[in-house]
Amino acid sequence: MKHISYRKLIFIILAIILLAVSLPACSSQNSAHLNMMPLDKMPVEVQSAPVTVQTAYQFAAANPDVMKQVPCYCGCGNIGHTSNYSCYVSGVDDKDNITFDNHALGCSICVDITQDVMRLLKEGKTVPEIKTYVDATYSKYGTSNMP
Amino acid sequence: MKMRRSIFLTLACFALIGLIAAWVFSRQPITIHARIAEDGGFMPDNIKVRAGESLRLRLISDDVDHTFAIGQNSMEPVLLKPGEPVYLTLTFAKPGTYIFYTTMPSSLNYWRMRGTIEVTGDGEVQVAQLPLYVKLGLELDEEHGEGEEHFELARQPSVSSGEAFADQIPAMYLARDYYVAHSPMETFEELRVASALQSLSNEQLWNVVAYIWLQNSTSTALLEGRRLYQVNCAACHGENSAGDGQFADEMKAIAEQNQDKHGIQPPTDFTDAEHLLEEKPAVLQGLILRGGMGTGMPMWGTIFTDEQTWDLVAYLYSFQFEYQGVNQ
Repeated sequence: MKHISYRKLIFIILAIILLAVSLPACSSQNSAHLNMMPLDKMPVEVQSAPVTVQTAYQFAAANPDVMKQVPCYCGCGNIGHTSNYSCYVSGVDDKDNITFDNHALGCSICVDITQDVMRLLKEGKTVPEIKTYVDATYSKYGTSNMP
Repeated sequence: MKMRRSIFLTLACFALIGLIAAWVFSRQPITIHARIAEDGGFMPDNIKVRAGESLRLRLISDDVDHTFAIGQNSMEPVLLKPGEPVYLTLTFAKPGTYIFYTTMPSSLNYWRMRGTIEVTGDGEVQVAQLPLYVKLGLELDEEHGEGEEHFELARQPSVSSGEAFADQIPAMYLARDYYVAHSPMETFEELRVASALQSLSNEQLWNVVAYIWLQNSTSTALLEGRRLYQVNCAACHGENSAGDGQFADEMKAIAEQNQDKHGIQPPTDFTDAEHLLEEKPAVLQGLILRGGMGTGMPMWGTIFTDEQTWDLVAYLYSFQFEYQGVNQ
C-alpha cells in the first residue's frame, strides 16, 4: 500500500512539474486564429516577398471589414488610399476577383500597421481599440489617410 | 492525524516544486531566431517585459551573419554568426515600444528584419507629437525639378570661404526656424535679391549658404550623422551617397519592371546637387521618420531618436557642402 502511494506521489509531482513548466510557455503563445487568404492565391511578387509582407497581404485580402477601418500613415492618402486596406487591394470586382496593389511591397509603415492589427486581434482587442493604438503610434511619423 | 500531516506535507512539497519549476522557467532566456527577411526575419518578433525587469535573450542566426540592434538605445549592434548563440540581458527603465532590428544587409529586404519589445508598467504616457513637416504643412512626396531650369554648381560650396561674409548675413537666415523650413536653393535665391550680400557672385553666395547650413549643426552631430549613415543607409544609398549601394541595381530593376511611381524606386542619389539643394531639412527629417511612400525606403522614426534624425539630416548636406573635418 505504502509502495503504491509513493508511485502515485511521484507521478503527481512529475505532472505538476510538467504543468508548471508548460503553462507559462503556452500563455506566451497567441492561439487566436486569424482568417488568411492562401499564399498561392497571391501575385508572384507577394509570394517571393519577405514573410511579414506575405502575411500582411494574406490578412488584408481576407479581412476587408477590419482593414477598411484602420488608417495608414505612409502618406498614401495623397494617392487616393482611404485605409490600410487600400495599400494591398486596389479593387474587387462583382465576382469577388481581387486586384492587388503592389504599394505595400515597398512600404514600411503599411506592413508594420497590418502586423500590429494582426497581433492586437490575436490579443483580443476590438477594431476601435486597434484603430486608437494605430493612431497613437503612427501619428508621430505621418498623416492618416482616414478622416 | 497522521493522514492530515501526510496530506499537508504532500501539498507543501507540491507547492515548493511548483515554485522551483516556475523560477527555473522564468530564468530561461527567450530564444530569438534570425533568418533573412525572405525566410522569416526575427522569430519571435514580439516580446513583452515589465519596465525594470531583466529580459534575458538567446539570439541565434539560422542562416547567415546578422546583427541585433535596438532602436533609441545606446547598445552597439551584436553580431550573430550562424549556429553560435549569443546571450543578452536587457533592462528597460521606461514603458514603451522598442524596436529591434538588424544593421547587416543580408538581403534586399534586410530592413524588414524588425521586431518589437513591448515594455509595460506604470509611467508617464507620452502624448504623440506631430512631426515637424506636418506642423509646417510640408509635403514629402512632391516631384522635384520638373519644368525648372537645370543647374550645376561649378564647385562644392565651402563653409570656410562663406565665413568671410558671416557678419553680413541677416540674423533671420541663421535662425533654426528658418533653416528647418527652407531649402538651400530657396536660401540662395532669397539672399540673391534681398540682402546686403546680393552683390556677391553665385559661387560666393553658395559659400554663404554652406556657412549658414553648418551653423545649424555641430562637429559632434555631423560625426554621429556620418556613423548613422554608414551603418543604416549606405547599403542602399552607397558609401558616397551616389545611390549606388549594394542593392541599388536590384531596386532599379524592380522599379523599371513595375513602372509605378508609388512602388519601389532606386535609392536617392545625394550627389545630385539639383535634388539635395532643393530639399528642406524638415522634409528630409520627415522622410527619415516616415520612410518612402511604398518606395522601399524604410521608416526610421521608431529607431532613431529625434536628435539622431537631425544629425543625419545635417550630415546629408555634407554631400554637397564642404564641411572641414567631415568630408575633408
